[in-house]
Amino acid sequence: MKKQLTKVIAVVLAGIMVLGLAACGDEKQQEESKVPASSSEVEESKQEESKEEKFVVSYPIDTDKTFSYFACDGGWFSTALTSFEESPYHQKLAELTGVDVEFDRQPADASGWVALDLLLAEVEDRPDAFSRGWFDTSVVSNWIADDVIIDLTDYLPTYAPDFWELINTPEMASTKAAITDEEGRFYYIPYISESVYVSTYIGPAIRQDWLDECGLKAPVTMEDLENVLVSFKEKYGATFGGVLSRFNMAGTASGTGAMASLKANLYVDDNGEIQCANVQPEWKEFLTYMNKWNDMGLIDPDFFNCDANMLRQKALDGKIGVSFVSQSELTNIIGDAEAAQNGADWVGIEYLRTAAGEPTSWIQTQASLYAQAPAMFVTTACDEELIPLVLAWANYAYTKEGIMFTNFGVEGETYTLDADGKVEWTDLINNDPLGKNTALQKYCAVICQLPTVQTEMFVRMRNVEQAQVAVDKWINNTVANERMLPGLVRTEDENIVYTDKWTALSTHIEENAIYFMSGERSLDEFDAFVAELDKMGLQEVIDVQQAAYDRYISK
Amino acid sequence: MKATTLSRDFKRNKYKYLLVIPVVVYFILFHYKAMYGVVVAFQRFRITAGIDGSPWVGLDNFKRFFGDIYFWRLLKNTLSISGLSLLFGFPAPIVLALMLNEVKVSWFKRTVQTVSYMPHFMSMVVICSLITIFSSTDGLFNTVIAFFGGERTALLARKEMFYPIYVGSHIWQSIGWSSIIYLAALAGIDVEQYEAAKVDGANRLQQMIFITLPGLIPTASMLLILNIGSLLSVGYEKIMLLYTPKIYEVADVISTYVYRKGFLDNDYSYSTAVGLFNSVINIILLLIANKVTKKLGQSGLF
Repeated sequence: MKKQLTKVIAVVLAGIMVLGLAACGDEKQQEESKVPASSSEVEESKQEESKEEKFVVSYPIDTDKTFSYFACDGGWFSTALTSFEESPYHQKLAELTGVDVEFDRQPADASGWVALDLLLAEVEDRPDAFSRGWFDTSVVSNWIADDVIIDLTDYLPTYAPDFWELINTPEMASTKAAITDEEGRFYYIPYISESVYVSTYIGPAIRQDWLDECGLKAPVTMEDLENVLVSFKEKYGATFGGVLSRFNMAGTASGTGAMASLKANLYVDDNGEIQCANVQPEWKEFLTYMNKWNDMGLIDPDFFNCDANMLRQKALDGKIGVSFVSQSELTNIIGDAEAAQNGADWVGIEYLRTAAGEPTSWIQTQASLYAQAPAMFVTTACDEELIPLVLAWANYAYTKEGIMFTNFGVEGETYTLDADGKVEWTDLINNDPLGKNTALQKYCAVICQLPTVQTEMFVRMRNVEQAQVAVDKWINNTVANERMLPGLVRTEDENIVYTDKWTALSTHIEENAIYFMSGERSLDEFDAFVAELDKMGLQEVIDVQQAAYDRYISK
Repeated sequence: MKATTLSRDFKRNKYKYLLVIPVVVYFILFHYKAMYGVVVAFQRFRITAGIDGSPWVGLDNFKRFFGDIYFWRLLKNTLSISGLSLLFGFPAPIVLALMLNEVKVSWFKRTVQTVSYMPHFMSMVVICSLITIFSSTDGLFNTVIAFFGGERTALLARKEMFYPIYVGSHIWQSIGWSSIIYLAALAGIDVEQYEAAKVDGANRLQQMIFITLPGLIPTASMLLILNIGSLLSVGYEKIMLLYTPKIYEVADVISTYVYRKGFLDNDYSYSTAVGLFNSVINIILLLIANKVTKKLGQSGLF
């Protein structure tokens, strides 16, 4: 009996193993040939322009052809749905552009970039086009060198006329410089922010009701902020709170004219030379203030360990009066205050300045209107004849109608325009059982993030009035955009020097910034600290970046 | 007497061999065959160029790693964290198992067991979120400290508190689950030995020392060797969720540093080299532990 049982088990297990191996093989093939019907893509339907084969760039495009698109970052359907076929956005996009794109995305358990890399490694596996975001310029250089992606420059004027027109406007000059290579060639179609408003989403916020009660005005300089904090502490026992990662985007650094918060940073000065923010006297002054405030008990004791949820709770409990938050976090805090009806009135205020009227030296923003979000690449696996179609399809997201579609959806269904041309969401969006954000994900592209233009209006309409106004205040009168370093292309050897030394330098700077602030290390040792940085190779890193920057400028 | 050859044994027990073949195939395909990828540590690897197309750089990646200014600190922190986890986290399940073994009331024993291994199933992110909230100045831990007359501080911002919090939460999460295997071993001890000891006049403590503990030692030593074999593999998830630059000096380990570095450059070769270094050290430690165990009279792992 026992022997028979063993026999049976053995055969069954062996059978399972064989089936498993077979399924593995099938699965792989299935994944690659799986191409969900393309739903509306964020990108406006590309306008097909007439090419020598009578390619008319008008939408919907009159074609039966299709191509494969791997949505590595972005381009997905909403998390509330289960397939591209279900996604209203993707379906509508197919209808409007006339192209039924074969979408694909990585399996849920694989890491996106690794899955993409594997697909790109073999020519037969490559999709015709793919989107990927948050990439370093060296990644693109590698792809070019390994013949994975194609040069789009010659095709763009004919087949992506709206995008071409947009990218060549004077406002887009820095963006164009950021996305082209050294010879000015285009290798991808990027996600673009309409204006500086869209690039900035983090800044200072304060309780206006407490300011009014104390008879104070919104702080402009470091001294002002100190007075406000002292008053808040005396009257309400409240402190300056924040999440370290948010604060480190810019924080109160601009109050002393510093170019970095509690973090390492390189910037370019007015003479086109690269400097390290953390060896400047302004940064020492910034640390001095933070240290003083910490000693005076004006800073939240949990400052170094606070996360977003804790901060929200502290705001609701009235433990903090000033903070650094993102637009959506501000919306949340305002919502909490309303729900609790405690009279708290959180508003955004301008970043601190060295003196009234002076531009702020450093704010959270981006160097150009090119966002680091997903960009579209066309691979060498794409047929010659399909390239115009792919580009024309992508171009839709840059036409006027396309931009409205990708940002807001379908007029009458998801939004209406009032008399002033302002967008109002319909009930379909506002009353979605899973929330407004989920609804937006289903119908609009900007959250699913396929390359398009993200309009100011969309960003405004996602947040409550006060949060919208906050951003206007944050971007007011600043030079930060000009000082930020754009994404630079380094050679392989330069890259090795940079990654090795900069990781160590960043760690040292971040650690010591906090030691100086908390008093663990005395600020008298600041010069010794600068000497340590020199010893660790700071100048080498600056030289490497300077060389890359000079090449970038001479484009 | 003819020695048992493989073919003879196979004929006699062919279904048992059949049973084992799937496992062997799995290891060959997914572990041994994949080992070929280790050569990437000696190249400057680019995935689109493949292993054949990427240039060889010899020991460069290792030199970069060892030459890093923070190398010794990272190594020290990694060994400290896993060493302390081992020192305190290894005996804890054994103690729990011994105590549970003495409990005669069945429903109480089963309840305690279930409650103690439930934390094992909680996600790391949830647990770290709880720890962060409890460690804040208004959190649970501080309330308890204040109750006993202490001062409220941000616990996770203090260097001396990081290891206790890390190891403590590790024990809390794993004690129940790890004790299962010891309870199983304890159930296998011959009951007659206890009766004989009672007859000889041994009290409960003496029974535990002379019968129970020796019964556990084979299992415990095997698990100890296995744990020593992962001494350098401190995962970055938990640390990353708990640390802050203020405590980098004690909390920054090899995996978190390499993780931050990875953001600057998709360097497969570098992280493979670091991984290879970790594995080599782990194997050496494993072999030493195995040898020592054997010398001390136990059977060892191999």
